[in-house]
Amino acid sequence: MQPRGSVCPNLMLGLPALLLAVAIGAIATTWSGDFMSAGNLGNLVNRVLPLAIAALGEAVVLFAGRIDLSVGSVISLSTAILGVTSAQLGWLSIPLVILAGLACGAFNAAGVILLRINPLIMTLATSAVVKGIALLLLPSPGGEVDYSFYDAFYGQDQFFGWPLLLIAVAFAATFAIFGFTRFGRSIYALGSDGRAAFANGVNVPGIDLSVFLISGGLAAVAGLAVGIKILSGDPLIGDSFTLDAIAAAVLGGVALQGGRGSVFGVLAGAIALVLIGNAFNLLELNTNLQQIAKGLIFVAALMLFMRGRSRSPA
Amino acid sequence: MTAATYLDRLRPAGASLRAMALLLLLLAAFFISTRGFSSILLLDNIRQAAPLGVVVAGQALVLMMGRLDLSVGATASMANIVLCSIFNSDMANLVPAVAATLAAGTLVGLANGIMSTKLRIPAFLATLASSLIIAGLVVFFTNGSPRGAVPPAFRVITEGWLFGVAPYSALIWLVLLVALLLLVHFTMLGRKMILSGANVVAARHSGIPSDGLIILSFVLCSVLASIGGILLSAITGMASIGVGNNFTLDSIAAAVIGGALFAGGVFLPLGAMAGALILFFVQSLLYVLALPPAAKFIVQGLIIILALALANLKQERSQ
Amino acid sequence: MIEIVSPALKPMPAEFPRLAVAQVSKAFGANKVLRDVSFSVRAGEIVSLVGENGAGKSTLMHICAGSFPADGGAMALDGAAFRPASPKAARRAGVALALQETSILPDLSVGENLFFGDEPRNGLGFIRQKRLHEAADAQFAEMGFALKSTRMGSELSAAERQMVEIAKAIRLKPRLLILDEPTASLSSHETELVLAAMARLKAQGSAVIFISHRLDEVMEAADRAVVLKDGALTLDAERGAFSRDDLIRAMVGRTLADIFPARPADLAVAPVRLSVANAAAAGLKPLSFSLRAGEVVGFAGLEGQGQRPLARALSGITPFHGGEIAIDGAPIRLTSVARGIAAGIASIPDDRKHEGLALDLPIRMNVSLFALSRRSSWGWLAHALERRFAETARQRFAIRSTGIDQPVRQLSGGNQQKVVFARWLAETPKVLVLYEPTKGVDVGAKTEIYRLIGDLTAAGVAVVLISADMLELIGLSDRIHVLFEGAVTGTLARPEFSEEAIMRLAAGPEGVLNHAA
Repeated sequence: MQPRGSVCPNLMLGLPALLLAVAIGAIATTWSGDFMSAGNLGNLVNRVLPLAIAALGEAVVLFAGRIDLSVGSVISLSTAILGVTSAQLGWLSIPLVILAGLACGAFNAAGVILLRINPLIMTLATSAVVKGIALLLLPSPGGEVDYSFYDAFYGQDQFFGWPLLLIAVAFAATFAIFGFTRFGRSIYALGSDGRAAFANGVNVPGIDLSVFLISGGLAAVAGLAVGIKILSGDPLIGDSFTLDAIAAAVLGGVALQGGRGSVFGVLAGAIALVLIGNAFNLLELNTNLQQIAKGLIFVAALMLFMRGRSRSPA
Repeated sequence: MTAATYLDRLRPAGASLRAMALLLLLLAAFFISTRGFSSILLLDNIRQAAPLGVVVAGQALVLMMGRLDLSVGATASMANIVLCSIFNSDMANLVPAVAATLAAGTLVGLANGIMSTKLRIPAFLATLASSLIIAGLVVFFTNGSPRGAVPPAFRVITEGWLFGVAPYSALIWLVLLVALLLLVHFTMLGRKMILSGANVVAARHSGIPSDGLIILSFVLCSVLASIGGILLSAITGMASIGVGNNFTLDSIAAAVIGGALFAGGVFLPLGAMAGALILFFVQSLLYVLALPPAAKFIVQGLIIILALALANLKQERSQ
Repeated sequence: MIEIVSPALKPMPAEFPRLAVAQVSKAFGANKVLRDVSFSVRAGEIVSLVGENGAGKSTLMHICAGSFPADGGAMALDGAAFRPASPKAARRAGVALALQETSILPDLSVGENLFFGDEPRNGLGFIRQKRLHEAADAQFAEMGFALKSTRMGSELSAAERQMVEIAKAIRLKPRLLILDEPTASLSSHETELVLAAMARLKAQGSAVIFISHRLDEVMEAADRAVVLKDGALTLDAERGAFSRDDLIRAMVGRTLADIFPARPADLAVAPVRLSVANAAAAGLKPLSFSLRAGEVVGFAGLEGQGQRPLARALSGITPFHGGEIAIDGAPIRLTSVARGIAAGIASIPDDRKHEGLALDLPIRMNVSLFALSRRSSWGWLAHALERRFAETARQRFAIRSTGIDQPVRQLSGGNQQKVVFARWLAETPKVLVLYEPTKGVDVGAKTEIYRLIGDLTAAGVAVVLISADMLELIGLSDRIHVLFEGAVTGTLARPEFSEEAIMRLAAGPEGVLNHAA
């Protein structure tokens, strides 16, 4: 890629995460011969999928200088809807789930735009409401997802399959939007400097609505991937995704203050996070230690990327 | 110094009064439904609301500094585990148990404060990460099945009544609130905290050591969350994972009802108290109406949105 | 009034003026910023809008460019009613605004900034990045600007940002171009390029309004001058029908002698209060200067030449590297704001809203910090003392408010600035560092602040005055150091003061050489 404008510097931001992912992959390969097997790679893709999609949605919101803490709850709600309705509705439950995700995004946007509530706190409140709705639908893990969904989507169980294609399409499309369209540029502009963006004619409420809709929609897609994988609904399964999605984005070089970051960095961040978990498994580390380590890695990533930036939102 | 100026300082702010009015309305509805006023019933409710109330006071302090603490729930849960496991049902362990619990809380607060100042990590993310780490540590050290309980004698702090008229836990809550009120509104330290919370750059440029004050607020908040966890342990009596987790959102909702602003610079002890009680009564109401537990989350979220929307509306009208 | 048509102006069928503004008014809260302003601009005319800081110039231009609506009055563009709902709408109607606080997006490249919202696209709606950069470079070349399209917005200097801002506005070939202090950060060469670009647009039949603080520039480039004072129009005259003195009188409403306190003739015998020897800081080369008791030393310069680092280092916010700082002959270590305060330094920031005040807290809490910290016992807050002090300060500094419990946000800019002064002057300091002390302050408050500075110097306070306001520098200072790229390029004594002399030094060593040759 030629050094042209903002595309290239933003690509560079994802480099550390990419190197981290490659390094972990290399170590894991020497550690265990199974790592590079088609089976394990396919398994890895399946595990990257929901996190990468959720992190992509989170990143779009972060590009605009906002944040979305409701991603995890939307994922939970998606699996719950899928678990409750797929037996009766069949394939129709999929658009239903996506509509629900978009509705969550619209709810966030309404609070931020119309009621002027700080995005952080609005999405936190939304997260509680959505979690409540998920628990109303499905008070405990259960429900049933038709096995044909799994068969159709994950059935090949290898590296090149639907999950990889979905990741590729989602990231390529988002890359095109942010690299080469006025819409993407307006989102960067808003995150870069809200007042300057307004002065340059950016439709601020329109961008706010768009990014929260994108985030809600993508979280719903991530929720579908999770629900189909576990073949049931779980009203609490998404809880850890919010922090993981933000962590993947930050690890991938997305600035929390907005305006900076590349979609491929996000992908690299998500891959790195999944590989770290995979490495812990190979090391047979206690799962609870994994959670602690994840928290510490997140803090370290934030420390590295916040350096030299003094603005500190709540 | 005249008494009038002190009285003037004690005059509650408008937001506190609105929260109190809302509380009175709720109480009226409550007592109409239970057919008749009963001071014992009221005090008993206050007794049970005390753990949340103490946590809310800490959250309100951090909000005054323009930050947010998303780890109070995990900290209170941790306090429960630490307290019960060291107590081990033996009153002889009183001092080490309480001291260790408060020390653990202090450590959490220090970590949160340092992350959000020296390391420049946004407070909500730093505290979100620390809540994850705390929860992980708790499960790791207990292997997921915590042991231990508080001795029955210790449960007096929430079950006992002073002279049979005032529950101890309500008194503890009141004393802590008054102490915070004195700190914030009657000392130089508190004044510097308010100035930092309202505009941290201006405060730094006036020579106020803002970073230290922010760390202090996080430490106080975590210690108060630990005290909330101790009170909660006295009510439940035993160790269990995640007993205090609801405190995180509850405390934010209650503080916001009580007039706290996310922009910082506002500390209303009376509002924080009213907010905690309102939230407690609303949740009791949900319980009485036999709504599923899920409804609690929905109500929590809607209360936060409603309270902030109203505050924004009011601010817009005044400008 | 006789119309004087400049030879460059092509005769146009101008039944309607390009822009007519009729009785426009605007208030922010209680603060009336514009009062019934009416004027017009013809096609092919360059109008200079002049006025002091806070006179309402920027507000007026923002209304023309659709940033916010007027409260009253009307505008017409080429005879048609003009009510732009947004900057975008105004731009579509052909009105382009280049801001003083630039709207350059830091995370986009220069070319992307130049074409923002109007990027060349292919059939699929994708931006043609290569074509964009080529077009941007071509435009910079045509205008004579030395800028590369691929540089990032965040890397640009204040002058370069301003150049991009102007290029952005000119690129649209607008019917009306508005430039808000386009030359404040530019050297004389760059200023000439901007004036040339303006002339080119004029020749193409565009109308240009430019706001400027430099009266020389106004005299040279403007076909007409319009002066605002306290939000009202005080002069509207064709080229040749006004003089520099007319402009000044219209801007300040009285002669300069009435505004600025008289300076004592000779301060050479007073003891040295502050001495700075060989001290450097980030953005500031090693610097030496000293102030005597009662002296005002001004620092002038184009925007971004080290003023901000100097102000911050002197108040202890960012440290000086090396060198020696002494107050009353005693060396001090100026490593924090608290140390500066302890040594007797008071400093007024330029950005009072972000760096000076807690806007939502009452006047009382904003003014009383230092008074209270000196006199609180055992850490308790002396409420009665606070009220007494705040009440006294309110009267001494004439802070117009409903009372000491009024939130500072509701005050006008001038009264907010007085609150900042009141906090820092709880006790008389030894050294007072003023950074743009009258930015966004109305003339009344300004005069009061100048009088206050005069009183303080009479009491022996040494004042460092860092300002972009030439009139203020010339009126108040005993000596002026001129900054260029973080170093002092020259010093002027009171008899040598003139706008021209300052500008010559401000353009840097090159400018000095040119002039000498």
